[in-house]
Amino acid sequence: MKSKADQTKMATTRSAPATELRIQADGTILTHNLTPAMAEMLSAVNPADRLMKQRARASQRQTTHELPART
Amino acid sequence: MILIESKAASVQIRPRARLARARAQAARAALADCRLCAHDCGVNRLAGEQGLCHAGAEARVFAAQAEVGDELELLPTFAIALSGCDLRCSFCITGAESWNPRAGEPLSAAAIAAKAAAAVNDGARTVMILGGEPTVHLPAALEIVAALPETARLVWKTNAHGAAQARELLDGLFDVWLADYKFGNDDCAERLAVVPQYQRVVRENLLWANDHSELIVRHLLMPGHVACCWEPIARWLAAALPDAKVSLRSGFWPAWKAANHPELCRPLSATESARAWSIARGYGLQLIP
Repeated sequence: MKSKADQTKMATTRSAPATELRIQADGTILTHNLTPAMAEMLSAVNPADRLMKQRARASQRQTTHELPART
Repeated sequence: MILIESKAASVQIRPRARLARARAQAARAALADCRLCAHDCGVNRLAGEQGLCHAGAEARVFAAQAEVGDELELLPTFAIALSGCDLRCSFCITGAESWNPRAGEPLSAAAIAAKAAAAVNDGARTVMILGGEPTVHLPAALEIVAALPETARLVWKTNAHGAAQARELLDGLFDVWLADYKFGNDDCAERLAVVPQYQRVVRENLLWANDHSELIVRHLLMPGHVACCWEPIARWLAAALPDAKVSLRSGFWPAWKAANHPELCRPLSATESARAWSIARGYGLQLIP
């Protein structure tokens, strides 16, 4: 079990690329901090989502999909 | 034959970096009497005093990564999120980091700029500096700009609550201002974000940004606030900034302290979303995805 201090740290720092997802009762998925890899995955899950397809396509500009980017 | 490269050709001319470095020094000095945002606190952050944002003199970063969730024309972007904010939006999706300027890790402008430069080399179209609210950490934000390649297209993602002093220090450095217009009246702004005179300040910032850079105005639709917030915003944008790009976001989720406000305890309904888009089309706004 993590200590309260650990939990606080987890809530306020990130050491790897991260996307937050919220799945609504009707199946709608909301995202925040959408990474290229997650966009590609969500586009594969629902190919009919044109906007997500565009985001996934944009992410293909990145030759490295997940950067060692967090400080 | 021996070719000798001329000295002049080998000298890198980096006007943006030079300007940003000078501005960063001015911004750091300004922390001694901090009036970077419209709260106009006048505290000496260099001496440890804290204004309403509670930020100290040194910035911290809670996220820095390639992202594709923003406006399509900016993507992919390398997003650098600085901890701390001068607003207190109950529904803030990064509330833990935005309300706490000590969240995250100490910022190294050179290190973060190197990661951003690598992302640009890998195909990122833009580098976005955001928060929280980056205005409260203007010295650090400008130090990042000073360390970035001149060719990087820069986006200033802001709550549009900055003061004239901040705008002057930012002038000419960012290609795009991506500015939130959150509330359509001062009562909602006071109640949901504890910010007075919101309309006056935001409109002043948006008009300035439109004159000094490319501007994208973003509005996050809130449940129960289409009529009181989005409609007046749309009406004003149509009248004052008819050519501005407008990004209407419908992905509200009840994060952070949203439960303190009954109407914010749910996502946006399909009816509200349809009504909001109808309003936008009715005013002829330049909507972008």
